[in-house]
Amino acid sequence: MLKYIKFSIVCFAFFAISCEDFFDTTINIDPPKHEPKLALYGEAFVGQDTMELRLTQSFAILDPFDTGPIIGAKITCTQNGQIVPVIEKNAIINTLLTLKFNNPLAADDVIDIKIEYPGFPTLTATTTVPKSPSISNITYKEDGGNDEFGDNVSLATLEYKGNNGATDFFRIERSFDYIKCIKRTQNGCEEYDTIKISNYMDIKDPAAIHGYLMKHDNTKSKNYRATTYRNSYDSLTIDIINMTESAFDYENSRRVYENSVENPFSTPVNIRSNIINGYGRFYIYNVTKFKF
Amino acid sequence: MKFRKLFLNIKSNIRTCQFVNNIILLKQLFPMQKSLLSLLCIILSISAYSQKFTISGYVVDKESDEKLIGVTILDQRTGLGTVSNNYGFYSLTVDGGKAVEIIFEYFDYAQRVENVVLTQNVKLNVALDQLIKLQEVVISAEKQKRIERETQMSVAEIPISQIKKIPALFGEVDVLKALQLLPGVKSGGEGQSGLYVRGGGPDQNLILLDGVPVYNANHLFGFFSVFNSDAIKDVKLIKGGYPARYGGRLSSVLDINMKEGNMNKFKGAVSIGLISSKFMLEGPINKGKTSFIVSGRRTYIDVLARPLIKAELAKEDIDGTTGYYFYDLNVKVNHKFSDRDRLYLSTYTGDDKFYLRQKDKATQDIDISNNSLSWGNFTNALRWNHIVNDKMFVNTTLTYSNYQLNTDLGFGTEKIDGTNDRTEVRLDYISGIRDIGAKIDFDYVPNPDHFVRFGINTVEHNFKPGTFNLILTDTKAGINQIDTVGQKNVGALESSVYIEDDYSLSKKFKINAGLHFSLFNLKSKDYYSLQPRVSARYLLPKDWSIKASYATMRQYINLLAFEGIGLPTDIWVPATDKIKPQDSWQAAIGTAKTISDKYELSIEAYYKRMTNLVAYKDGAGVFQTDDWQDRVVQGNGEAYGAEIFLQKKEGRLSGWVGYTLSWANRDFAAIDGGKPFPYRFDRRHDISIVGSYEITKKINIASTWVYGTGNAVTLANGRYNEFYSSGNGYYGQEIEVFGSRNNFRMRPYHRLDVGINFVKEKKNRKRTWSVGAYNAYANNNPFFVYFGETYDESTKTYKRTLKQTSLFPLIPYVTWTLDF
Repeated sequence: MLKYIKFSIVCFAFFAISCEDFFDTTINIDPPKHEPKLALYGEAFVGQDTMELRLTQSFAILDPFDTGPIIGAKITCTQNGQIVPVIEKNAIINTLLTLKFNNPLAADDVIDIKIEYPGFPTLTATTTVPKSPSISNITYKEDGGNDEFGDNVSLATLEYKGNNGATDFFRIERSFDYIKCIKRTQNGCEEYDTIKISNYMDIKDPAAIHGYLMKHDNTKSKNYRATTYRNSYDSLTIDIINMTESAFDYENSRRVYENSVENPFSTPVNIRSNIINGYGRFYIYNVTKFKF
Repeated sequence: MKFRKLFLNIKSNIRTCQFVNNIILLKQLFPMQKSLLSLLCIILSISAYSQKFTISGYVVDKESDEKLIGVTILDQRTGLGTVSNNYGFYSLTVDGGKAVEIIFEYFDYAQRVENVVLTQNVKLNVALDQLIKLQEVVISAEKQKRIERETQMSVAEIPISQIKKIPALFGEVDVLKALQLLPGVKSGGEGQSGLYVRGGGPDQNLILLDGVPVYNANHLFGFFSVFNSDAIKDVKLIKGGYPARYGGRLSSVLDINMKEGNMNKFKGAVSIGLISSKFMLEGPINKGKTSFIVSGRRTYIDVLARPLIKAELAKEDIDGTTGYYFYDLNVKVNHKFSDRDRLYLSTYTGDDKFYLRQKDKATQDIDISNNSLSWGNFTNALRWNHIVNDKMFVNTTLTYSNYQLNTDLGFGTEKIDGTNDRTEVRLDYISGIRDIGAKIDFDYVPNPDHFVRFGINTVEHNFKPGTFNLILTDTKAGINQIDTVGQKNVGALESSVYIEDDYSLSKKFKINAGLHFSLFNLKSKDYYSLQPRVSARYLLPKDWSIKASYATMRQYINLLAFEGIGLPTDIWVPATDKIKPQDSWQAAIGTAKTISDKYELSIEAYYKRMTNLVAYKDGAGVFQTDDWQDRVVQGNGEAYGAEIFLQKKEGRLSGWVGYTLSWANRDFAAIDGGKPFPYRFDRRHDISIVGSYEITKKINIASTWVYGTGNAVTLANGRYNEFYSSGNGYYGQEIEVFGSRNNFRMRPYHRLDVGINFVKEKKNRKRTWSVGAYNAYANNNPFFVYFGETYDESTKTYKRTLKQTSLFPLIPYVTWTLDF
């Protein structure tokens, strides 16, 4: 009898482990809890007197996802302590809110925002407008030689001067206008539109984060070289985009987030920003343009 | 009191005295000389009275001559004793003059009592009988080796014979998985053999095989350990209160000793299991002088499946095969030059290999795909045991350890126009670590109150943190180009000296105190550390004792690991200018008691603080070419808790019950703004119940049940839409929100394993059928969780859901073993 029992167990064991589907059982389980919060997007540049805002909310990870706007939130914004009017432009398609600043945005302006909406924690954010950099000896070469991978690149060089002794945070972009056909017939293109194309330049400095985000010690001058893929246009600008430390941290973590999404072996990333009790970002950039 | 009596006796009776050959001769003297000589006689008499002699030698297994580690040797008169060291050597110095009764006691072996008349130092090699081999077992004397008498706390020893009875996944007896059933020790996840001791990581365990560090103790991505139980003699895990002789890791020391080989006769074992088979053969090369042991194991799923895979691929006009296997081989030779000198050479080699080779003939030319992933350890130890004198033993060891991972991906085309021209792109990835070391350890036993150990150790590390080679071949164009990117090899020298003393301050109070000094030399930086260690026990009435320990540890090497799974891609890297060495201190207090001579109870509470721990920064991970130092951040950790352990080692019913209540947290300035977060293996409750019962001589059953709080993992808990401007418009992108690190608890883990062994013994052989089931009630234990999609019948749409994958529902096993 014992022999039969043993034989049966042996047969079952071999059968079981030879079945492809024997292992790997998958079941549904409850997700982690999430407290919904407001999500704000707001971005502007020095010299502008308005800032467009988009306001949405976060959802629990398995709840239906809706990118629709939050309507009727109470928004309080100040520019250097003075109340800034808020204009609600189009509440149907998207919550497109506009802040109408009392004065065009200028270096060292302090902008505060507070958003209240029933059922959500109050969102707040503060940003200070960054200073302009002191740049000299800027050059641009369409044929800037080959990079470390052997690719032919365009090259910008500049001297970033010591300024106020603080730390500057910046990236460099090359921008040009691109004429795009938006209506093509048998006779060819009949209607054109001009769109602005900007691309980040690789800053050739070991301290550059992700190759393009730079922290500059403003107590001294430093020469920078920046490259991007070779391109030829009649008119282009090299933009030095200065930002706050918080914006720099946001861009860094945003990029790390992007990379982690593509790598299953990486640790998860939370994007950091100046938004308190909410998500998104609220920043003002100072762009210095050099035309070539 | 004794001295006073002696003094009076001498004063009244002695005329003169001589001390010759330990005997006092008495003569009459003139009065003038009387007082001086009386004093001299007193000194000499006391000296004679306390004349001590040393009994020393080896304790071995009677049948195989195998050295026995940790045997208790006790002077019955005084209660003073010692234990045999890692090489079976002991030294006990006791009062001479009279016959003494020396008790030798060891688990699973019959107690032996030797009567010795001590008039000089005595060499006494003792052979003990294994209980199982005795027809009738009579334990006459009271059990001497008692847990409450040991100074060392936080230590776990499971006899290999007991480990072999525990039901195992696929029937593969696994030492590391047996250790996971002890309180304070956790597994990484379902089926994993990694050890997480008292809130520490898998890289914080010093795993020594015959004194040689083993860097990757896993086969099959962690489902099996590299240790073949047939080749192992002894396993000891130290979780805290580390003696000074150990160093280099923060959380535990796992000291595994291989068998030496039977000196007297040939013996062997063959075992056939569901996924692997193994063999062991041992015996004398020169009887009584030289012996060997060789054991090996290999999985064979790939061999069995190869014809089927080839046939399947052939249907698509592909010539190729794919498979996975692992093997390991242990060889050990030992030679006895004399009673004083022995030489051991032990080698371990083991490899895992996954391969995929294909030639696709269906295309115009032949598409070749040749891929493999292999990793393995190679360790070597050459040891020389030398007895300097009756009280001093020295062990000199030369070690070599190499761990290497090779990933080889190759794709190419072979022309079928007769030219055999070939184009190929290969990407190789190599990482690993190689050590060459030397150490000398001294054991000095001046008297039963002291057991002094001291030594020096030096290891030259060569770290290979990961190199990619891109090889382009075009035979027609004559191109054979190799581009290399990645990390440069790094060399480092790690050295240490230590001294420790197991010191009996009184019959009740005993301490083990020591110092460990270590030095780590890099090209550009030197680190050093002085680490005090102390353990103490105090005997209380009714067989209770109270114990306490404090130890500081330093670790100069780190494992960059993907947490949870013992992936071969984990990389060993050293402390550098940027990355500081890890430090810890641990304090523990506890109590122990032997109950009714059968049960051992220990209760311990501990607190451990760790600094400069290494973790991947947000978004970083393996398979990246940038400098590993830029991918990690350093921070702190703490672990605390209490452990209860009740064990029964002998009798028809044996096993243990263990419970751990613990907390393990981390805080890294660069993660979550420095807020503490739970360690992935923070497990509040951990219970294990292990039992085996001998129904008859021929049938024994065994079972284990484990329960553990679920692991903490990081999961997205929410999402929002982030707008950005690009060109002339605004766009949205879904962003996931993760909350804090390790914000989600997986479900609790629990599992019941059952097994039954049918044993049939004949004259010179023993056959065992082991059958059983892993996860007998088929609980869906979490292995990993992920977001996927589930089809919703009601809405006829796919819905996003959180899924949990479980690996092993119910795994039956059967193993056939023949011992001869």
